[in-house]
Amino acid sequence: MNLALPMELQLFLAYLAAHLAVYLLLVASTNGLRSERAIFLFHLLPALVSCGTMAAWAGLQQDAGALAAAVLAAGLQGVYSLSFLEAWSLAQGGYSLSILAEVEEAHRAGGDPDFSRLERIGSEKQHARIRALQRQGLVRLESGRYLLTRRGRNAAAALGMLRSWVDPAGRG
Amino acid sequence: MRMPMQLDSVRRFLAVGVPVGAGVVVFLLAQHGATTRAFAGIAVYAFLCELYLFLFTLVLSSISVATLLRLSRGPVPAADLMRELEPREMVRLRVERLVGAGCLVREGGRLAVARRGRRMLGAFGRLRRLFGHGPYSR
Repeated sequence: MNLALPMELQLFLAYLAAHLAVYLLLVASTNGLRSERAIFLFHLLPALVSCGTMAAWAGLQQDAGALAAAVLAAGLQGVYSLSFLEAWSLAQGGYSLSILAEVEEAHRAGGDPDFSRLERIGSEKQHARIRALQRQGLVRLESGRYLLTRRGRNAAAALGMLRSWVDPAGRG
Repeated sequence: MRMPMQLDSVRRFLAVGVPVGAGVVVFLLAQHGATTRAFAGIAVYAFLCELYLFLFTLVLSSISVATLLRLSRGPVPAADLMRELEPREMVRLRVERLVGAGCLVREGGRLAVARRGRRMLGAFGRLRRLFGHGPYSR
Protein backbone atom coordinates (compact mmCIF):
# COMPACT_ATOMS: atom_id res chain seq x y z
CA MET A 1 0.00 0.00 0.00
CA ASN A 2 1.45 3.31 -1.10
CA LEU A 3 -0.10 5.50 1.57
CA ALA A 4 2.20 8.10 3.08
CA LEU A 5 0.19 9.81 5.79
CA PRO A 6 1.13 13.40 6.56
CA MET A 7 2.45 13.86 10.10
CA GLU A 8 -0.60 15.98 10.92
CA LEU A 9 -2.91 13.11 9.97
CA GLN A 10 -0.89 10.66 12.05
CA LEU A 11 -1.24 13.01 15.00
CA PHE A 12 -4.97 13.21 14.34
CA LEU A 13 -5.28 9.42 14.40
CA ALA A 14 -3.30 9.36 17.63
CA TYR A 15 -5.69 11.95 19.06
CA LEU A 16 -8.70 9.73 18.20
CA ALA A 17 -7.06 6.77 19.91
CA ALA A 18 -6.24 8.91 22.95
CA HIS A 19 -9.82 10.25 23.08
CA LEU A 20 -11.18 6.69 23.20
CA ALA A 21 -8.59 5.71 25.82
CA VAL A 22 -9.59 8.69 28.00
CA TYR A 23 -13.19 7.55 27.89
CA LEU A 24 -12.44 3.92 28.72
CA LEU A 25 -9.97 4.73 31.48
CA LEU A 26 -11.60 7.79 33.01
CA VAL A 27 -15.01 8.86 31.81
CA ALA A 28 -16.63 5.41 31.91
CA SER A 29 -16.00 5.20 35.65
CA THR A 30 -17.11 8.76 36.47
CA ASN A 31 -20.78 8.98 37.39
CA GLY A 32 -21.18 12.65 36.60
CA LEU A 33 -20.00 12.17 33.03
CA ARG A 34 -22.38 9.40 32.03
CA SER A 35 -25.29 11.55 30.94
CA GLU A 36 -26.24 11.94 27.28
CA ARG A 37 -25.37 15.62 27.38
CA ALA A 38 -21.94 15.02 28.91
CA ILE A 39 -21.04 12.32 26.40
CA PHE A 40 -22.28 14.46 23.52
CA LEU A 41 -20.10 17.38 24.66
CA PHE A 42 -17.20 15.00 25.27
CA HIS A 43 -17.31 14.35 21.54
CA LEU A 44 -18.52 17.65 20.12
CA LEU A 45 -16.02 20.02 21.74
CA PRO A 46 -12.82 18.10 20.88
CA ALA A 47 -14.22 17.36 17.40
CA LEU A 48 -14.73 21.07 16.72
CA VAL A 49 -11.21 21.86 17.92
CA SER A 50 -9.51 19.01 16.06
CA CYS A 51 -11.35 19.47 12.77
CA GLY A 52 -10.96 23.22 13.01
CA THR A 53 -7.22 22.75 13.52
CA MET A 54 -6.94 20.42 10.53
CA ALA A 55 -8.95 22.82 8.39
CA ALA A 56 -6.74 25.73 9.41
CA TRP A 57 -3.63 23.68 8.67
CA ALA A 58 -4.98 22.72 5.23
CA GLY A 59 -5.82 26.37 4.57
CA LEU A 60 -2.25 27.41 5.39
CA GLN A 61 -0.75 24.65 3.20
CA GLN A 62 -2.94 25.56 0.22
CA ASP A 63 -2.24 22.12 -1.15
CA ALA A 64 -4.62 19.49 -2.54
CA GLY A 65 -2.97 16.78 -0.46
CA ALA A 66 -3.45 18.79 2.74
CA LEU A 67 -7.10 19.39 1.84
CA ALA A 68 -7.60 15.66 1.28
CA ALA A 69 -5.99 14.97 4.67
CA ALA A 70 -8.29 17.51 6.36
CA VAL A 71 -11.35 15.96 4.70
CA LEU A 72 -10.15 12.49 5.71
CA ALA A 73 -9.70 13.69 9.29
CA ALA A 74 -13.21 15.18 9.36
CA GLY A 75 -14.68 12.00 7.93
CA LEU A 76 -12.84 9.82 10.45
CA GLN A 77 -13.91 12.09 13.31
CA GLY A 78 -17.51 11.91 12.15
CA VAL A 79 -17.47 8.12 11.81
CA TYR A 80 -15.74 7.68 15.18
CA SER A 81 -18.01 10.05 17.11
CA LEU A 82 -21.28 8.91 15.54
CA SER A 83 -20.35 5.23 15.96
CA PHE A 84 -19.39 5.86 19.56
CA LEU A 85 -22.55 7.84 20.38
CA GLU A 86 -24.81 5.31 18.68
CA ALA A 87 -23.11 2.38 20.44
CA TRP A 88 -23.19 4.25 23.75
CA SER A 89 -26.87 4.96 23.35
CA LEU A 90 -27.71 1.42 22.31
CA ALA A 91 -25.69 0.02 25.22
CA GLN A 92 -27.64 2.26 27.57
CA GLY A 93 -30.53 0.13 26.55
CA GLY A 94 -34.13 0.93 27.12
CA TYR A 95 -37.44 -0.82 27.30
CA SER A 96 -36.58 -3.68 24.94
CA LEU A 97 -33.39 -4.75 26.67
CA SER A 98 -34.85 -4.16 30.13
CA ILE A 99 -37.83 -6.33 29.16
CA LEU A 100 -35.53 -9.10 27.93
CA ALA A 101 -33.48 -8.89 31.13
CA GLU A 102 -36.65 -8.97 33.25
CA VAL A 103 -38.06 -11.99 31.41
CA GLU A 104 -34.75 -13.85 31.65
CA GLU A 105 -34.47 -13.14 35.38
CA ALA A 106 -38.07 -14.23 36.00
CA HIS A 107 -37.64 -17.37 33.89
CA ARG A 108 -34.57 -18.39 35.93
CA ALA A 109 -36.48 -17.79 39.16
CA GLY A 110 -39.39 -19.82 37.81
CA GLY A 111 -41.83 -16.94 38.07
CA ASP A 112 -43.58 -14.40 35.87
CA PRO A 113 -41.85 -11.19 34.82
CA ASP A 114 -42.85 -8.09 36.74
CA PHE A 115 -43.18 -5.23 34.30
CA SER A 116 -44.69 -2.83 36.82
CA ARG A 117 -41.28 -1.44 37.68
CA LEU A 118 -40.58 -0.81 33.99
CA GLU A 119 -43.99 0.82 33.65
CA ARG A 120 -43.18 3.11 36.58
CA ILE A 121 -39.81 3.99 35.07
CA GLY A 122 -41.48 4.55 31.71
CA SER A 123 -44.07 6.83 33.24
CA GLU A 124 -41.39 8.87 35.01
CA LYS A 125 -39.47 9.17 31.76
CA GLN A 126 -42.53 10.32 29.83
CA HIS A 127 -43.15 13.09 32.33
CA ALA A 128 -39.46 14.00 32.34
CA ARG A 129 -39.46 14.28 28.52
CA ILE A 130 -42.51 16.54 28.49
CA ARG A 131 -40.96 18.73 31.20
CA ALA A 132 -37.71 18.88 29.22
CA LEU A 133 -39.61 19.99 26.11
CA GLN A 134 -41.29 22.70 28.19
CA ARG A 135 -37.94 23.83 29.60
CA GLN A 136 -36.52 24.01 26.08
CA GLY A 137 -39.38 26.30 25.10
CA LEU A 138 -40.79 23.88 22.53
CA VAL A 139 -44.00 22.96 24.33
CA ARG A 140 -46.26 24.83 26.71
CA LEU A 141 -49.20 23.87 28.87
CA GLU A 142 -52.24 26.08 28.47
CA SER A 143 -55.67 25.52 29.97
CA GLY A 144 -54.90 21.84 30.57
CA ARG A 145 -53.66 21.25 27.02
CA TYR A 146 -50.19 20.77 25.65
CA LEU A 147 -49.39 22.75 22.54
CA LEU A 148 -46.33 23.71 20.56
CA THR A 149 -44.74 27.09 20.87
CA ARG A 150 -43.57 28.85 17.73
CA ARG A 151 -40.13 27.36 18.30
CA GLY A 152 -41.72 23.97 18.80
CA ARG A 153 -43.65 24.29 15.54
CA ASN A 154 -40.44 25.06 13.67
CA ALA A 155 -38.69 22.11 15.31
CA ALA A 156 -41.62 19.80 14.54
CA ALA A 157 -41.68 20.96 10.91
CA ALA A 158 -37.95 20.23 10.52
CA LEU A 159 -38.30 16.87 12.25
CA GLY A 160 -41.32 16.00 10.13
CA MET A 161 -39.34 16.67 6.96
CA LEU A 162 -36.46 14.63 8.30
CA ARG A 163 -38.77 11.79 9.20
CA SER A 164 -40.38 11.73 5.78
CA TRP A 165 -36.92 11.69 4.24
CA VAL A 166 -35.48 8.84 6.30
CA ASP A 167 -38.67 6.81 6.38
CA PRO A 168 -40.90 7.83 3.47
CA ALA A 169 -43.03 4.69 3.73
CA GLY A 170 -43.51 5.20 7.46
CA ARG A 171 -42.44 1.66 8.16
CA GLY A 172 -40.09 2.50 11.01
CA MET B 1 -35.37 5.17 25.41
CA ARG B 2 -33.99 3.46 22.36
CA MET B 3 -35.49 0.67 20.32
CA PRO B 4 -33.18 -2.04 19.05
CA MET B 5 -36.18 -3.03 16.93
CA GLN B 6 -35.05 -0.38 14.45
CA LEU B 7 -32.40 -2.95 13.51
CA ASP B 8 -34.71 -4.28 10.79
CA SER B 9 -34.80 -0.88 9.13
CA VAL B 10 -31.08 -0.50 9.63
CA ARG B 11 -30.53 -3.85 7.95
CA ARG B 12 -32.59 -2.66 4.98
CA PHE B 13 -30.41 0.40 4.68
CA LEU B 14 -27.22 -1.64 4.97
CA ALA B 15 -28.46 -4.01 2.25
CA VAL B 16 -28.19 -1.05 -0.13
CA GLY B 17 -25.49 0.99 1.55
CA VAL B 18 -22.89 -1.76 1.80
CA PRO B 19 -22.88 -2.69 -1.92
CA VAL B 20 -22.87 0.97 -2.88
CA GLY B 21 -20.03 1.56 -0.43
CA ALA B 22 -18.08 -1.32 -1.93
CA GLY B 23 -18.56 0.28 -5.32
CA VAL B 24 -17.34 3.62 -3.99
CA VAL B 25 -14.24 1.98 -2.51
CA VAL B 26 -13.41 0.14 -5.74
CA PHE B 27 -13.98 3.28 -7.84
CA LEU B 28 -11.88 5.59 -5.66
CA LEU B 29 -9.02 3.14 -5.28
CA ALA B 30 -9.02 2.53 -9.04
CA GLN B 31 -9.05 6.28 -9.76
CA HIS B 32 -6.59 7.50 -7.14
CA GLY B 33 -4.83 4.44 -5.79
CA ALA B 34 -4.33 3.89 -2.07
CA THR B 35 -3.87 7.59 -1.39
CA THR B 36 -5.14 10.08 1.15
CA ARG B 37 -7.53 11.44 -1.46
CA ALA B 38 -9.15 8.03 -2.01
CA PHE B 39 -9.50 7.36 1.69
CA ALA B 40 -10.92 10.84 2.21
CA GLY B 41 -13.71 9.99 -0.22
CA ILE B 42 -14.33 6.66 1.49
CA ALA B 43 -14.39 8.31 4.91
CA VAL B 44 -16.90 10.91 3.71
CA TYR B 45 -19.19 8.19 2.34
CA ALA B 46 -18.92 6.21 5.56
CA PHE B 47 -19.69 9.35 7.58
CA LEU B 48 -22.75 10.17 5.49
CA CYS B 49 -24.05 6.61 5.99
CA GLU B 50 -23.48 6.88 9.73
CA LEU B 51 -25.20 10.25 9.81
CA TYR B 52 -28.21 8.84 7.97
CA LEU B 53 -28.46 5.92 10.45
CA PHE B 54 -28.05 8.29 13.39
CA LEU B 55 -30.83 10.58 12.17
CA PHE B 56 -32.98 7.60 11.23
CA THR B 57 -32.86 6.05 14.70
CA LEU B 58 -33.21 9.45 16.36
CA VAL B 59 -36.29 10.43 14.44
CA LEU B 60 -38.01 7.07 14.69
CA SER B 61 -37.25 6.09 18.26
CA SER B 62 -37.12 9.35 20.18
CA ILE B 63 -40.09 9.90 22.49
CA SER B 64 -39.45 13.65 22.40
CA VAL B 65 -39.55 13.68 18.61
CA ALA B 66 -42.74 11.60 18.62
CA THR B 67 -44.31 14.01 21.10
CA LEU B 68 -43.41 17.06 19.03
CA LEU B 69 -44.80 15.46 15.87
CA ARG B 70 -47.95 14.46 17.73
CA LEU B 71 -48.47 18.01 18.97
CA SER B 72 -47.81 19.41 15.51
CA ARG B 73 -51.20 17.99 14.55
CA GLY B 74 -52.84 20.21 17.17
CA PRO B 75 -53.06 20.79 20.93
CA VAL B 76 -53.69 17.71 23.02
CA PRO B 77 -55.30 17.62 26.47
CA ALA B 78 -52.61 16.79 29.02
CA ALA B 79 -54.46 13.69 30.24
CA ASP B 80 -54.87 12.39 26.67
CA LEU B 81 -51.18 12.86 25.87
CA MET B 82 -50.20 10.95 29.00
CA ARG B 83 -52.66 8.22 28.05
CA GLU B 84 -51.23 7.96 24.53
CA LEU B 85 -47.79 7.54 26.03
CA GLU B 86 -49.23 5.03 28.52
CA PRO B 87 -46.28 2.99 29.86
CA ARG B 88 -48.29 -0.21 30.29
CA GLU B 89 -49.33 -0.05 26.66
CA MET B 90 -45.78 0.74 25.59
CA VAL B 91 -44.44 -2.26 27.50
CA ARG B 92 -47.17 -4.47 25.98
CA LEU B 93 -46.32 -3.22 22.48
CA ARG B 94 -42.62 -3.79 23.05
CA VAL B 95 -43.27 -7.33 24.27
CA GLU B 96 -45.30 -8.04 21.13
CA ARG B 97 -42.56 -6.61 18.93
CA LEU B 98 -39.95 -8.68 20.72
CA VAL B 99 -42.06 -11.79 20.19
CA GLY B 100 -42.49 -10.83 16.53
CA ALA B 101 -38.75 -10.28 16.15
CA GLY B 102 -38.00 -13.70 17.64
CA CYS B 103 -36.32 -12.35 20.77
CA LEU B 104 -39.06 -13.62 23.06
CA VAL B 105 -41.17 -16.74 22.81
CA ARG B 106 -44.31 -17.86 24.55
CA GLU B 107 -43.97 -21.25 26.18
CA GLY B 108 -47.16 -22.55 27.72
CA GLY B 109 -48.47 -19.02 28.20
CA ARG B 110 -45.22 -17.85 29.77
CA LEU B 111 -42.68 -15.57 28.22
CA ALA B 112 -39.13 -16.80 27.75
CA VAL B 113 -36.09 -15.26 26.10
CA ALA B 114 -35.32 -16.91 22.78
CA ARG B 115 -31.81 -17.64 21.58
CA ARG B 116 -31.81 -14.43 19.54
CA GLY B 117 -32.82 -12.43 22.59
CA ARG B 118 -30.16 -14.12 24.67
CA ARG B 119 -27.53 -13.17 22.08
CA MET B 120 -28.77 -9.58 22.24
CA LEU B 121 -28.57 -9.55 26.02
CA GLY B 122 -25.06 -10.98 25.88
CA ALA B 123 -23.81 -8.55 23.25
CA PHE B 124 -25.41 -5.50 24.85
CA GLY B 125 -24.27 -6.66 28.28
CA ARG B 126 -20.65 -6.61 27.09
CA LEU B 127 -21.23 -3.22 25.47
CA ARG B 128 -22.72 -1.87 28.72
CA ARG B 129 -19.70 -3.01 30.70
CA LEU B 130 -17.37 -1.43 28.14
CA PHE B 131 -19.15 1.91 28.31
CA GLY B 132 -19.46 1.79 32.10
CA HIS B 133 -23.25 1.73 32.20
CA GLY B 134 -24.80 0.28 35.32
CA PRO B 135 -27.08 -2.78 35.38
CA TYR B 136 -30.35 -2.62 33.46
CA SER B 137 -33.06 -0.58 35.20
CA ARG B 138 -33.71 -2.68 38.31
